[in-house]
Amino acid sequence: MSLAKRIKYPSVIERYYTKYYCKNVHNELNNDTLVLVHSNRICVLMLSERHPIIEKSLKIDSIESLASVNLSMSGKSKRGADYVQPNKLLYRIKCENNQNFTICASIKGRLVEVNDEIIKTPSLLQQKAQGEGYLAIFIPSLKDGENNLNSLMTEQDYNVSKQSS
Amino acid sequence: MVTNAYRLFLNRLCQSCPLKTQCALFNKFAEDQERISLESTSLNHSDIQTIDNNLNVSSLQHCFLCIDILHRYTSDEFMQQIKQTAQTATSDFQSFCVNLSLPLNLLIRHAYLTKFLTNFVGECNEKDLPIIKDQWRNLMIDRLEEVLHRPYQIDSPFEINITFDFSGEKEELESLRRFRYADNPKLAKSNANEGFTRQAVTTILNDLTFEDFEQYYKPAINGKTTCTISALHDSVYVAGRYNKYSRTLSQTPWVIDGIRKAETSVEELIALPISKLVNAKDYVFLSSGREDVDVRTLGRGRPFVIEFRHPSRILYLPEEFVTAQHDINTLTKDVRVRDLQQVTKEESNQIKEGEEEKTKCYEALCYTETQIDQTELDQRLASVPNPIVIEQKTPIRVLHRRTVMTRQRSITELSATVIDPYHFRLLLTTQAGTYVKEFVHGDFGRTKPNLTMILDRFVDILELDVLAVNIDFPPSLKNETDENEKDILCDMNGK
Repeated sequence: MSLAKRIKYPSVIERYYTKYYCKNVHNELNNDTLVLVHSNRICVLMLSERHPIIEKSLKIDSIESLASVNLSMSGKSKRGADYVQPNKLLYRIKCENNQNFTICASIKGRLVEVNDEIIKTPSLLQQKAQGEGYLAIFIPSLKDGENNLNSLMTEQDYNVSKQSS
Repeated sequence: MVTNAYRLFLNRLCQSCPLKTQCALFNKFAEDQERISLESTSLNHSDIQTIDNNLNVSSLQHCFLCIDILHRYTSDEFMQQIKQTAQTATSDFQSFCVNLSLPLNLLIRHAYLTKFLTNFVGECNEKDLPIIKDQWRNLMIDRLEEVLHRPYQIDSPFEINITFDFSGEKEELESLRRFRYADNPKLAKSNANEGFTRQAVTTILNDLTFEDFEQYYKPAINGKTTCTISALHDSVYVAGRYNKYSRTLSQTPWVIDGIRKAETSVEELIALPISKLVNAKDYVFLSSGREDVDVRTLGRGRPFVIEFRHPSRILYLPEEFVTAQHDINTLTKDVRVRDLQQVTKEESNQIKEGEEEKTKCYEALCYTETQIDQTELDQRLASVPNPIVIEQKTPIRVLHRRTVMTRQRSITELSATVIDPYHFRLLLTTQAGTYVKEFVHGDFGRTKPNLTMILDRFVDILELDVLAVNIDFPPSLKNETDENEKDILCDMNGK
């Protein structure tokens, strides 16, 4: 196999996930989240690339965790884990100039992981927004996995909507 | 006083029943009562016919004591039926054992007889009455050995199952209904239609008196006995090692809702040709771990074992497997099998033994977006401890079917060779259960430490190959010396 020098290979996200967006989470303007939907229906929640925290490199003062994974969760089917609604509060991010953002689940599903690393290292949200700076991981039921997509925006629609604003 | 029992047990429904002749107490009683003729007084509930003294068994009715198990089912004809069932199931069994299953109402009759004899003759307990199963074996086992030309062995891998059913079983059990949960009317009501288990019947019978039997037991005099014979030999185990050269082949068949999504699979490519040799009802494919669809398996290959269930033949020559192996290898170029051989059940367990401790060797084709040269690569890899212990949260790509947990795994022998400034080959040996892809790209930082951290730049994986599965099973077959050369060629060209 002949390898060219700088081919743009599909990234991990491009290989396994489809991007969906949720606008104005918690009714806060521009507080958009990105939901990475894996081909196995698992959803990874992140900040949208267009979120002010990233686009404007806002200085983050603190991140407060408002939810945690149920400790009684066990087994392959993650019995015991909370099945949350889109408005489930996850984090409160306090930035400079009193700009605060409340992050919600944005989808329905079992909450199986929250990212403790961002509490320790808030800068991850900006530097590794689509990597180590992820927010949470959910596993929706097969049915919800499909229904969630109806309340989210596709990448294309989102980009169009952000252009006009 | 003439009781029902009296009539039942003295009625010469079956003079010749071994149960009668083998029981001293019964014989004594029978002799004493030889001349008593049966009255045709109306009974409480059974309709027993009197039978001509000379007849042993009426064609309409069965032997009350053993429901014909010791009569019709000890005949030569029945013996031939057993022989045929056994030989059709497995043509070359080396020994056999027999498992009998009797209808539960025989327990009632046995208990009834015990109580009857206690009342009318003398103290009689369970052990004084011959047991039907024992009697049957006494009459049949030696003859079966002769007819089958094989020895009877209590732990034989070949089991002949003979199940006797009696049409009146349920009816007779029902007469015990009132005694079930006698001290708990609520339970009795909620379980009013529940079937009787052997345990339940035994428990009830323990507490019944002779009078209880007389008053409530209603034998199904006109019941019919039927019999089902089946035979089953322990599975045949075939082991080997396989190579996988395709990056679009799954290990197991990919079927969703009955629709096949992929043409074939590693399992089918290996098992189907062998199943032409080992004719069996079905098979189970087990391997020592497995690789993703897009990963090749090179080198000596991955060990596997196929269990063939309900085999119709159990003895094979090693040459027959050499042929089967050759068939597999010529039919497809995506999979290659070696060391194909028959193994015992105990040996086959080795495939899953010590799963946590085994190691695997991999080669990964990686790329980066920041140039790297061999010097820096060597430097950075040398700076990590050897072995390096990583912690992996369950990778997201398998999280839907695996428990959420963090696994500690160790990686030894980490090295890399540069191909060009943006590509290199990574070689590593890992503990079993390590997710290599996630070690390279980090899985959003959920595997730590990972290669992006070690090399301090973005890295991702393009291709992965398994070079070795370090398990010493199954034993290597001797004529494989020239196979090793073939190995290297195959691995290089991807067959």
